[in-house]
Amino acid sequence: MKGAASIHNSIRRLRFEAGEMTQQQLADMAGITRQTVIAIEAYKYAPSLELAFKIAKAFGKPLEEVFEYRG
Amino acid sequence: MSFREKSAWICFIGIWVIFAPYFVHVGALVRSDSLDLPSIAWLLSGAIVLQAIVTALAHIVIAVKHRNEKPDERDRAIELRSYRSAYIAVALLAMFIVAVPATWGYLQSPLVIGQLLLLCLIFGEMAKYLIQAIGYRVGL
Repeated sequence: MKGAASIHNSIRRLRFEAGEMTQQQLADMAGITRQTVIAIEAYKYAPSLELAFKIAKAFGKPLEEVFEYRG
Repeated sequence: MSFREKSAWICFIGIWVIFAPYFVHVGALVRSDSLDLPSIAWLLSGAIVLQAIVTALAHIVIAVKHRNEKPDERDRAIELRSYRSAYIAVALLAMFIVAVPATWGYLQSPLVIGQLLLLCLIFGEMAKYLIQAIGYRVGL
C-alpha cells in the first residue's frame, strides 16, 4: 500500500487529454483489467515496470510523464 | 467487482456454507463417540461434491458477465500474497494441533486428528480467499 502511494501517476489527466479515453480502452491497450486501471489511478496498486511502460506507450508518452516517484 | 474478486467471495462463502455444518456434525459425532470411518467418508465426499457443484454453478453465473477477462499482474500479485498468508496460518494451526495433544499427553484417535488437520486446511483455504477478496478492496 505504501509503495503504491509513493508512486504518483497522471493517468486520469492523460486519459482526459487523450479524448476522454475510457478506463476500459486503456485496460485493453495495456492488456490488463479495468479494475487494475482503477486501482492504479486510486494509488491502490503500483504497477510493475513492464506494465508502467505499456501504459506510457498507450498514451504515446515517456514513462516519466505518466509515473513519478515521490518517496 | 472483477471476476476474480467475485470468485474469491464465492469460494469463501461456498466453503463456509458447506463446511461449517460439516464440522458441527463431526463435532456432534465426536461428542457422542460415534465417529467412524464410513460415516466420515460419506460426509466428507458429500461435502466436497456439494461444494464443487455450488461453486461451479456460481462461477458459471458470474462468467456470463465477465467473458474474456484474463488475469493480469495485479490478480497474480494478490493471489500470491493470499497464498503466502494462508500457508502461514495452516502451518501454525497444524503445529498447534500436533503439539497440543503431545504436550498434554492426551492422544486423540487418528480420525479426530485427521478431522482437525482437515479443519486446518479448510481454515487455510478460507483465509486465502478472504485475504484475496480483501486485497482487491484495500489494495497492495
